[in-house]
Amino acid sequence: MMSAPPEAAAPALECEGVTRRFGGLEAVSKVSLRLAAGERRAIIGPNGAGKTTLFRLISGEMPVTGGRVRLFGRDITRAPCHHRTHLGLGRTFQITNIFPTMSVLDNLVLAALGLEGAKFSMLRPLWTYGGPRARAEQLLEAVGLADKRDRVVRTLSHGEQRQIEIALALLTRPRVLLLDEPTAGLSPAESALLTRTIQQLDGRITILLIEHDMDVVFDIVSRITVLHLGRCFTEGSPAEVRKDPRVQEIYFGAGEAASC
Amino acid sequence: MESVAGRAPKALLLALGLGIGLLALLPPSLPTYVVIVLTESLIYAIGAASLDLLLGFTGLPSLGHAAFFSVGAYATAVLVTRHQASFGAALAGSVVLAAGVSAAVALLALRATGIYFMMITLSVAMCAWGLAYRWVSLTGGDTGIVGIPRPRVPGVGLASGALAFYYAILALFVVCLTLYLLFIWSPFGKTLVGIRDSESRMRVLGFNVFLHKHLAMTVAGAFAGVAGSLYAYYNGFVGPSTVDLAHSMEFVLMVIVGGPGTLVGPVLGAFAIIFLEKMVSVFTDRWVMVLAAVYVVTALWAPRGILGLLGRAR
Repeated sequence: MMSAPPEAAAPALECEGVTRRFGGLEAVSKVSLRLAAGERRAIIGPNGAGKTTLFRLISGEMPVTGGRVRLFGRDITRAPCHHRTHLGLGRTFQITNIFPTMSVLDNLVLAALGLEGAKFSMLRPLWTYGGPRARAEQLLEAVGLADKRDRVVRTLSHGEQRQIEIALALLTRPRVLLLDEPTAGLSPAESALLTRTIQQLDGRITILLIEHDMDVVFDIVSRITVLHLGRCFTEGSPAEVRKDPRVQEIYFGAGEAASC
Repeated sequence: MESVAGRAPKALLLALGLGIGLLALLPPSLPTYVVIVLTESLIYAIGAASLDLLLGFTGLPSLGHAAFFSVGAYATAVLVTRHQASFGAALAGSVVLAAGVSAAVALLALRATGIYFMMITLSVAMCAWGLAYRWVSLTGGDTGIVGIPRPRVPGVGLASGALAFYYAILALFVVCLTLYLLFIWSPFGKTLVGIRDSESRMRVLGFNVFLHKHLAMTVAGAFAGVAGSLYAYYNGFVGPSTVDLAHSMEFVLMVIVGGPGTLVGPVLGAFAIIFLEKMVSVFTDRWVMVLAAVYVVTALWAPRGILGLLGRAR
């Protein structure tokens, strides 16, 4: 039997019964999600709900123990992490994961190399390559860090490092972008700035967002999936989820604890 | 380390030009013994810099670098003494063989990280030593291979004199240094630094981290093969002592003393260690103890090596 060809109408990202078991613990349990192209969706849930683990399963950093992951209809369940990036999947990290010893520009140029064959070139200096450099400088301008281009990123503020965190992912030209708590640890002003950056992204980019800050969630997404104890708890529009008393219960620990 | 996406680091090129100028002009007025030690230093500098590609740039703590150096040394010894190979053929054979062995070892060692990677590379070095010792028909066992004649360099003739041989080695050192610099400035070289800083980020940026590390080990093995081949010519003798553990550790020490991840540092480190060894061994046989003391002092007071100290003084 032939596998069905990827269709234009296929969901941008589809998880079908995705499961990850660690010994006796199911950190992610039969999670199913469908994101249409261009959709912006948030995943919320209390600590330990399995949100970041789910991201790691989707991005391929960790193999699933069950279920399937599809990107625009193509089954990527077994594809290695770097291959998924080439297919249009981008990801940022909750804990800033950038190249601390390099300058801002070097960080972005390196990220821009990810999709280029030039990354295997060994005998020609990097500064003679115009393409990655131009893309890096263009994005540097867009995120407002052009005046910091020669600073070593280690010496930048946390807010600026979070901007670079997203900039690196954008340089892989993602069609589906996984954002893991982009505003973690930011002040309200910095958070608002970053939220605007995300809102201004190309509308064709599908976004899946993990976020605890409800203001950020309501500004960016149109649908929310609530994850609890590794399972899909409920799904709905931001207004529906906000009204749902069961969601408030799991967040405030009244769920299972109520019977005590 | 300076930004390599931006521009050529002019200060570094100037310093290197100055250093090579001195190495080219001074030797005729130096005692023969010093010229011989300089020759050995240059050969080890090529080897130490190749280890720095792994240890300093990629963050791969390989403890078995003498194995690849020795593959190069034995290959040249065998090709020259038993097959009358020319200098070019012996060098090429050494490079190909050392790179091949390194690539094969990488397939195994890169499945592990951190301390486990160190253990695997260490055991590879021990296996190489065992083979050198026991595979008598190929390596001559304990006796090793003796009587490797000095190379016949095209256009120069037989580089038999200390000075002529020195200049042949210096020329090859400059070629290797140029290739090293191009390598670390290249896009691929930059990806290695990225892997050292964050493997997980490199993966989601679309880099096949295993492949990049594997290529890095193959390239480092090839250069270690160059150093090994030249060492065979220099020493005229290759035996199990070329492969032993202390020898691997000497390479590691050259990188650490010089300053890992700087390329120029390990070159300076090689000169420092070789000259120190020659001076100390006049007074005592306990060279390894002195080596250990150097390591402790470096770890305590100069964790970024000679180049780190120079950088701080500036």
